[in-house]
Amino acid sequence: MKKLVCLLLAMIMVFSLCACGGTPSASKDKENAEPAGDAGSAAGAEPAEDAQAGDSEESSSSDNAQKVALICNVGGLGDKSFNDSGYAGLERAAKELGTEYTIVEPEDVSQGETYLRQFAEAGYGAVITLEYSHADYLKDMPDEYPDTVFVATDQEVENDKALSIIFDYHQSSYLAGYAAALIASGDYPIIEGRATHGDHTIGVICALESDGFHNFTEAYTQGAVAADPDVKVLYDWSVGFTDTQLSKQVAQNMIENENADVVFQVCGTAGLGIIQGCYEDNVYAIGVDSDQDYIQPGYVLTSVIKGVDVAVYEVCKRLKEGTLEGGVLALPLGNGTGITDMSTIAEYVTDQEVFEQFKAKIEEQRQAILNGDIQVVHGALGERFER
Amino acid sequence: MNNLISLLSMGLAMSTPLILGTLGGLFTYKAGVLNIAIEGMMSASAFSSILITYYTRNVWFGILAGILITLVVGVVFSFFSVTLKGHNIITGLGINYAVASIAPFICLYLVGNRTSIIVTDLVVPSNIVVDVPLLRNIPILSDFLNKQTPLTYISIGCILITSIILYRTKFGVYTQVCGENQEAAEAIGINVNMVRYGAIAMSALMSAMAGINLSVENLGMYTDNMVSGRGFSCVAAIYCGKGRPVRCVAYAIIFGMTRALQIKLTTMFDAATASLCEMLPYLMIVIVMFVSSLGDYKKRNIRGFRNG
Repeated sequence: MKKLVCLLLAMIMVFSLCACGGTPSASKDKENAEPAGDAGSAAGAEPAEDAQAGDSEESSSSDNAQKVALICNVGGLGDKSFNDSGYAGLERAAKELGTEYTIVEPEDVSQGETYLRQFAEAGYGAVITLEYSHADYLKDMPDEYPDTVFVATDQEVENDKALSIIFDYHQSSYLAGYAAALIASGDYPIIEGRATHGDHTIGVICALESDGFHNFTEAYTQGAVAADPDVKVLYDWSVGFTDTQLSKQVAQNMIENENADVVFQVCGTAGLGIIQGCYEDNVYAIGVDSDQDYIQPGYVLTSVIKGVDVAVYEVCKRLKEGTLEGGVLALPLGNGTGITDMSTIAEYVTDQEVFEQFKAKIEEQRQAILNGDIQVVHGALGERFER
Repeated sequence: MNNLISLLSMGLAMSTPLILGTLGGLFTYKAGVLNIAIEGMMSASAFSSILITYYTRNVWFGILAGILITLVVGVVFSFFSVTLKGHNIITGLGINYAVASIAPFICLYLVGNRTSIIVTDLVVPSNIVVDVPLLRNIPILSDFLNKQTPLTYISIGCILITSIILYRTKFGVYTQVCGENQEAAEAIGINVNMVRYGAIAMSALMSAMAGINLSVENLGMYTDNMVSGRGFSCVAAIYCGKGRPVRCVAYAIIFGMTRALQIKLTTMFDAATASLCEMLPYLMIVIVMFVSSLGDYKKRNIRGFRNG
């Protein structure tokens, strides 16, 4: 009996492992069905298997020079945000440029490092990592593998041979703040009866306090003050990434007791609670990282997006053209970063004329930022906005 | 005044899952089982109730499934810690980790993403609140006591129910005997294992309600790890209150209220001070523990001998 149970458990474990890795790679095996694409099918499975795949491919490393590998961060595919966006970029590159790629979802950070090394040894032309903590490994690795260009997203690597992709999302946060303050001033009632406190108050809720989050909040405040000098901005830095009930209570406190008309969520999954709170209290929320306008259509004013897909596509394109090299690739406003075009909320707008004026005002600011007329504070570099 | 009322109202909402979890944990505490699986049980019910609601398009099926699945989790916990006599901390942690990893796994395969299931099209939390007829006429009380979710009132009722079950029924007395002296209980022919199974089932039931309060009543959605340590706050409350229902619940409410106080304070200060406010709930636990044990300590000294 015991033996049977042991056997059964062991089989369940083995199969669940296979299932874990199998599905995501199955979808892209369509693109690289040829034998050289072996790493694709082995990618999600055991690291040991992957090592073998890497070894066998060393002989044919020149074939791999045109290939791109994408290493997800621990969140993995299906996060409707960072990783999915990167995957979308790869799919587009495969369709338009014929790029062959491999995508892996590491279970923890150290496993990700193994992947970095394996792909480099297999001679991949570009290895893109979406994991923030890989910056340390990337300090030395490019010198060991000169044929591979390592790409880090959302961070700057201290090695010129690696390509660092920086999203200027402080600029989009500025626009979000500007839009929020316009709504809160009460002069732009784009949807009748929604967000009618008219108390010149907006809020922003962060998961925790760090320079990364100040990058959102400082620019958000600057934008808000630019739109309405009387604006009051409420901050919360305590909700963390997962506590949805807490984040909703925080948002509802801002709305019901402090009369906030717009709340900007910068806290990952917990942000869903904030959007829900805004929906129940009939005000606007602003989404983050990816297009979240559809979560409560009509209640999400816009979303501050990071164009990981644009960045990944750009890497594939450069690889194909042979111009991929180390350095910094900044994705400024309009090219990968920005705010959504508000097409989701447009369907719920009751006063088209005001909405057009509203959009025009934001567009004006966007142009001003692009022309360099407005210098947006860069919170990630430690800059702080002073009124 | 308005601030105080909104603080109380918010604090009560934040306390509800803590009250339910604490009362549930009391049964196991009395039965001599340290149940740190409250966290996992809450997660299990929060997840399964929303998942089943998502599939059946019916909230009541979801709630029922949430309770049943949590009871199954309770039976698994009982099996390992009572029948097989595993160490409670280890089995409890095992349950917590298992739920925390099974939920995203199922989520990914059935719903297509691993972090959230949203059913706000079926459940509108703002419509669930109860307008209590008598309460609505009392001026200040109605401002924070009225228009809470049903489970908030049920949780307050549960305080009475728990006290009655624990102190006035055979099951309750047996539970206490099992916890206080297992050998004595066995000697007089009580089936200790069965009593503990029962206590853990009660705990699972209450934790299930706590989970449903979080996911169904408050949000209409499940997000990964949404319980965020509430189960452990419940364990803390039980130990602060030394296993007496009303005292334990009082501590649970203190924890909930402090959380609400922190929310109110954070909006008033700059980032640095606000970060300090984040400590408040945890600081409160330490202070409360200190004060409550200080009283006992003094009592002992005055009488000159250990009587506790």
